[in-house]
Amino acid sequence: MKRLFVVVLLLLLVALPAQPVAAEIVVNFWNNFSGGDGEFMSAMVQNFNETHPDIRVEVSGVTWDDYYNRLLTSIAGGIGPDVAIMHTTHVPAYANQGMLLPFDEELASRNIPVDDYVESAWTGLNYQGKQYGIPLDVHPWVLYYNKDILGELGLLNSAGEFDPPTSPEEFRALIDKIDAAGHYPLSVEYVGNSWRGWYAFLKQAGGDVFVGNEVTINSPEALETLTFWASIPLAYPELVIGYDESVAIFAQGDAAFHFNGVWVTGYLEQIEGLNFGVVPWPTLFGSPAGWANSHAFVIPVQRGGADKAKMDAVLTFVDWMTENSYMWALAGHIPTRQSVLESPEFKALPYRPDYAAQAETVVYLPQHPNVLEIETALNEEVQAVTAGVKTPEEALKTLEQIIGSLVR
Amino acid sequence: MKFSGFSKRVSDAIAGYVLLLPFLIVLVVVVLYPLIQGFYMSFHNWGIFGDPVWVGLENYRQLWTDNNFRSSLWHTVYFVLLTTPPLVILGLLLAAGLNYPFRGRTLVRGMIFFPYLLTVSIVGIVWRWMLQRNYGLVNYYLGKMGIAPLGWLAEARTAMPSIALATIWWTIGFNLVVFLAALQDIPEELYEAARIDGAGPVKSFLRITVPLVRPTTIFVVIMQVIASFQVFGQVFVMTGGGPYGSTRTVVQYLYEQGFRYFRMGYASAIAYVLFFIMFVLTIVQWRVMGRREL
Repeated sequence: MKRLFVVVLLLLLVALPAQPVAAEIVVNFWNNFSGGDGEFMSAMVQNFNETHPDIRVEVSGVTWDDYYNRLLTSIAGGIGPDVAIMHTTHVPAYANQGMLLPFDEELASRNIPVDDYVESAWTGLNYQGKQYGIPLDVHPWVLYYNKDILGELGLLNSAGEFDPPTSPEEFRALIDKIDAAGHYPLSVEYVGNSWRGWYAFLKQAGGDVFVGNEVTINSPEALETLTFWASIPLAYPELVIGYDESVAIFAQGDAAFHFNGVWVTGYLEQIEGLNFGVVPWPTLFGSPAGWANSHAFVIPVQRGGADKAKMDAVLTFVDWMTENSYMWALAGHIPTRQSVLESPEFKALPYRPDYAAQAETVVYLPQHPNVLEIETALNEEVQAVTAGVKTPEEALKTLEQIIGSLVR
Repeated sequence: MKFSGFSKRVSDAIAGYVLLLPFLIVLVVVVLYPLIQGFYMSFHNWGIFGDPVWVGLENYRQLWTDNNFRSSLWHTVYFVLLTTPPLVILGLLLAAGLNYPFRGRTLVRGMIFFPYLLTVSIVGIVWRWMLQRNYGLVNYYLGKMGIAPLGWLAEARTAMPSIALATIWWTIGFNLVVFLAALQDIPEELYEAARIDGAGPVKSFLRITVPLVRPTTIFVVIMQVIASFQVFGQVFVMTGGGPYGSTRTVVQYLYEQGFRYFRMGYASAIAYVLFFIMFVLTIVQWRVMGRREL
């Protein structure tokens, strides 16, 4: 009897701890965050895992430059992650190839608070009537300014802050004034994605790259805004630099203005002695609009199809991540949920609330399966204009032709 | 090994193939199969999922009129012309110099070979920073000599030469080692005899070293042209093909078409055109340079 008791006890000891382990659902999560972004992301996932004993999220980080290759090949092989980060602009291309799972039904049946999300960010992930992603953030380009330089030139208001210009002439005059005073006026990646700045102004002026199957890029609005966007680097060719350097110059405290995405806030604020401020993208033409992209959670198509328990776990995870995204805002990004934007935790953060309102007026590139190729064309043609090897008219004509062949 | 029921010859052959099998499997799976599959794909519209559509020679026809392909082919040829002569000539000269015994010779050899051990991303990032307009090391020293700062990677006319420079720095060590090995095979007596006959170092280099390392030179040139035609990593990391596509090479274009825009069939066609060009070039080089050898 005693012996039986011991055996039963031993069996129980072996069996009991095994039970919760078996019930734990493992979610494979891939993201492309490195550096500061990577640290904040890991901390969030760890926090989620600690508060959710029944789900274990395993992160696989890949450096940003081969992230999409890895993701592409894994999905093509039918062994993609359970959930992954993808840029909003990438979604149409991947969805069009059948690599992403639309999950409208799941959203409805699991009470995901769709209304809480910033509308532009949410609808940016709706492709051909189906929802392919849940936005984690909005990361627009904004205007950073050096308070010391602008203060010295008397360009700050009584509160010690900068009032952004409201017309192209005003902005240009500022650049000339700062340059005349012997400072580096504006650091931005002219050898890189400077088309984003032009695109923002194009949208402000009421133009667009293409609408549906129709190319609208060769327009008076496009010519006016591109001519303006190129006028600064053409007048100051020494400003034509790449991304790393554009950040370095501002971080060193040498540049008065810096155009960049909000992701750089987390880096800039750690630099000792750098006295900077940030304002939303300036409205120089017509109505407010600023270029942005978003990091979104997407669900790759799996070989065996979707498993219900796994889907529950994934959506629980994604919902929690966006609900707690003030932690993600530490990296600089703007959260996508109104409840987070209005929370005291977020409002207490430095810099972020100064540009959070911009989430309302951001513009993504129009949706199209070929949009990544269109992006490359925009990037190269705008670079050619800012380098002075093509006139805005020539570049717009080339773009009209290239984009025409891609959207028709 | 003897298998019962077979003659010695047959059983030796079986043993041979059994020993070759692991290698053959790897060869078939990672080389031969993709090679054939790629060729097959080049005649299709081939996406990620969904059924491929047979298009015959359409991809090749499209390549013929594709401006981006043409320009990337030209950029690649430009890169080959910029890198191959210095890598071969400098490699041989360095090897000849470092074949003479002097104090610290091993250290210098090591220093020149060292960059070859780095990965392409490290090389690319280091050079990207060194060649910056405002904080770059290169412009810093040029500035000391009174030369105005240049946007090395920011301007089309200097971007490709800059990538070529980084490539020479990165890979010259390999050619150095190959040439050094060839130099060791030249009998010392030949140089001695030349010295006695009154030949200086330049003359003995031109009359003894150059002709005797000829087979190695042919090997290095052919390998170098093949390697340079396939340039991708340095360009990808240093300029991403910019400014305004002026450094986009064929392999970069292939990568963009296949992995960014999901046109696997078109990318395969690019790969086969590149393969064909390199194949023809190699045969031509072999014929031209190797003739006296054969």
